[in-house]
Amino acid sequence: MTNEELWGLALIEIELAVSRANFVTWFKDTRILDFAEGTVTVGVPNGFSKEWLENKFHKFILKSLRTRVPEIRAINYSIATPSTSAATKIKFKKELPPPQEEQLEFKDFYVDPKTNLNPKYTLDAFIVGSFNELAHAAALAVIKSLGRIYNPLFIYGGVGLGKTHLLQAIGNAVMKESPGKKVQYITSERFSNELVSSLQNNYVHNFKEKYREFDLLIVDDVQFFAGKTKTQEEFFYTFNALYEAGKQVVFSSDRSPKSISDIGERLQSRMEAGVIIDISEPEYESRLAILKSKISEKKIDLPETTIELVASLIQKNIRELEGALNTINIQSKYQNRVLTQDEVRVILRKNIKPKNTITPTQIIKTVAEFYDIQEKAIYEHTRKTEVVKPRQVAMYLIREDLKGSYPFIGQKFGGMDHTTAIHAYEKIVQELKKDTKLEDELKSIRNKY
Amino acid sequence: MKIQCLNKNLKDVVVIAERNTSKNQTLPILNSILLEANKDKIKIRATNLETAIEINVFGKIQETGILTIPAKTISSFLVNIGDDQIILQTQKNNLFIKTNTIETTIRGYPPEDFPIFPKLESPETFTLTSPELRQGLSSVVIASSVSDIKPELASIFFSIFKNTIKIAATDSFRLAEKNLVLKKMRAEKMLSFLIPQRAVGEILRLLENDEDIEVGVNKNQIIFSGSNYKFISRLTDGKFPDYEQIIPKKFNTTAMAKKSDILSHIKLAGVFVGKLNELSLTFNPTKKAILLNTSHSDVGEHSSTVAAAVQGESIVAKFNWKYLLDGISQINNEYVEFNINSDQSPLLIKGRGDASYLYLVMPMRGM
Repeated sequence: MTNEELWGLALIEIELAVSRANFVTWFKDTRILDFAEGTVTVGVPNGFSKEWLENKFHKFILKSLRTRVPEIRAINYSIATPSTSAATKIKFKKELPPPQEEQLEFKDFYVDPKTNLNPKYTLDAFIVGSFNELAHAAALAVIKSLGRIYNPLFIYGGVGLGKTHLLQAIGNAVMKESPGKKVQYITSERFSNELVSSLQNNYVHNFKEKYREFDLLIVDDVQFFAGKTKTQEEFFYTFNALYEAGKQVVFSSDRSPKSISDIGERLQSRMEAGVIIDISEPEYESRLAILKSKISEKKIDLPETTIELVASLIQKNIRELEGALNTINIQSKYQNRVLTQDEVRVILRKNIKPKNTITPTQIIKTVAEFYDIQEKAIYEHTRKTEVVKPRQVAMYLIREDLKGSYPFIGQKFGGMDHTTAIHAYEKIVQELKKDTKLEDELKSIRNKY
Repeated sequence: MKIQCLNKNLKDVVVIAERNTSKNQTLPILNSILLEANKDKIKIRATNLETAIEINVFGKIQETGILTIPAKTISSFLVNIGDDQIILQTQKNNLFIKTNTIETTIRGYPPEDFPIFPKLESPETFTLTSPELRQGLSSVVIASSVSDIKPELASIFFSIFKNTIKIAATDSFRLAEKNLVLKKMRAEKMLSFLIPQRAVGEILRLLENDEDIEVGVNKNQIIFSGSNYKFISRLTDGKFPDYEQIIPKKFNTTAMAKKSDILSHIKLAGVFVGKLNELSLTFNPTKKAILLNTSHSDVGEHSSTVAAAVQGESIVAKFNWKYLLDGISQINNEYVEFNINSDQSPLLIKGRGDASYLYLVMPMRGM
């Protein structure tokens, strides 16, 4: 007989002997916590029940328990929180209105100080579409066999596409499945800050020890390691120690390891050692699914057409998608009516960066800045390699993104022949097929305008 | 039992006790109070199984005894009688009341059925004065949540170490923290617990006299003992958020304004707030002022300027004006300091040069 069964049988007997009101008041939320060596420990919800059962019902409880299990000699009473919260819920006088959406909450309020994980990021809340299904599958595999396959896991993609969500969800899932595991989520920036302060205060040793104990280390936004040589070095050792001990490491970044500039080759190759997966931009259906899940989560009431409009207008960023949803919701609440499609368009126009307003000159400027050369050098008829490649990239981008004609491009670059422009375009197209680094470079440049 | 006392003394105590009875109808004995006269004291007890109270009544004891009567009946009775002196006497389970003009019998319950007062097993104890406790509790209780959905937010957090008591509350939109340093106290162990907000409201009403309050606390319960009363509450089972990490350490903009100025201007602006209670604050370093703007589509628009020493960038942020009012009112200083980083990050309010109290409030989303 289990403890639950035993207590259930005893309760049936007690219920017959005491009044209904007494039974409900004193025996609600009681249970057997422990039964060992003839002593039963009964969990009671509060101090009053404890006193009452001890003083008024003790003999009776003992008797009814002993008729089932004669070897029971003693009963202890101990205050324990009810296992079901259902009992307390009944007490609510009225449902309070949910806090207004407009009032911001403290960020990271429920972050677990031990792991730095925010429990709101779960796999259940992660919407999977073709743009991120690979990353999601890899995450599942990592959770299932920690440190054995896909180690390290490197996830990269643009801003606001759910990298942090996925990373934290991995941590939360691992914590849930095996609470004993030591999990740590940290941004590369914080890692570097911690290292600096440990150097200042002379406890580098503790710092090293701390990071080598984790079973799962999640490092977000590793691109910010760029340029910080000492941090990279320290992280490199940490990584090696974890990796050799078969511990899982997960990274995220806004670009692939190859195209993070200013990061040591050793660390770069470590990052590439496992599996590298990118999260691209969500397609329309995924955007719609994400919006709908946000809407049901926040209990917002918006017409279907508005949702579809938002999904079709905002394409690149899930965070912006959520922001737009909030803005529309606030506006319609404020005006106390459903907004028309045109009004929604007006609101969104303010929020979204206008597209295709870029000029060829701006492209050239951005490219020059990216490759760190003088802008006017691009216009010069020179064959220096450091200038030739940026020039070709700029030509390619003007052709691709602005649909500029070859003669126009040639003219733009200080009166070059249109065949030069054709050559440049085709050269880059060819290069792109074999050079993933170039692809990343183009992505970064495009993100800048 | 037979006692003689002043109606006023008895009435006050009965009204306090009545607040601690249960509104729950399942067990009528929980709606009643217990009156007990032993050799030297008259005590009244009440409980709703969450909190329990025991208060002494001043009076002359002629015969000892014990009795339980419905709280509602006795309190409405006492409030309405005009005589000063009353005599209370038991008649079996009933209460017989006699004054110069009145003879009344109130039906009672068998006192054996009244819940037993819980004893605290192995409590940690400390002592502080009632003004200290009152100040500590009243300055943070404003920030606690009124909803029961997250019990830890509908509670007041205590953290005690050595001679410092930290008291904090938050509803996740704002946070208040008070630090009390007690000369007398030396807590050996680090102690932290959560008291339900409703119990705190009750304690605040009890803390009238200037006296020492002894506090005993264990895993599940807390007891406050004054010279004339004992108050017991259960503790909230849960984990208070790790709130210290959300308090920013550095700020882009700081402003200092006279408390009376800013308070009256916020109240004025409050007349014109919209449905969402939003008040826009502009911290303007060039004008050396905090600008307040409110508008309501039906009532009108309003703007005002409060002279302030503003340093840093100019920032415009919207706040729930009631939240601002709550926090600023608690500042015990002529000048109030505002610290903020952006229109999306919390505003820290405290008294000038006063590190013992802080109030943190999140802005509202811009429109």
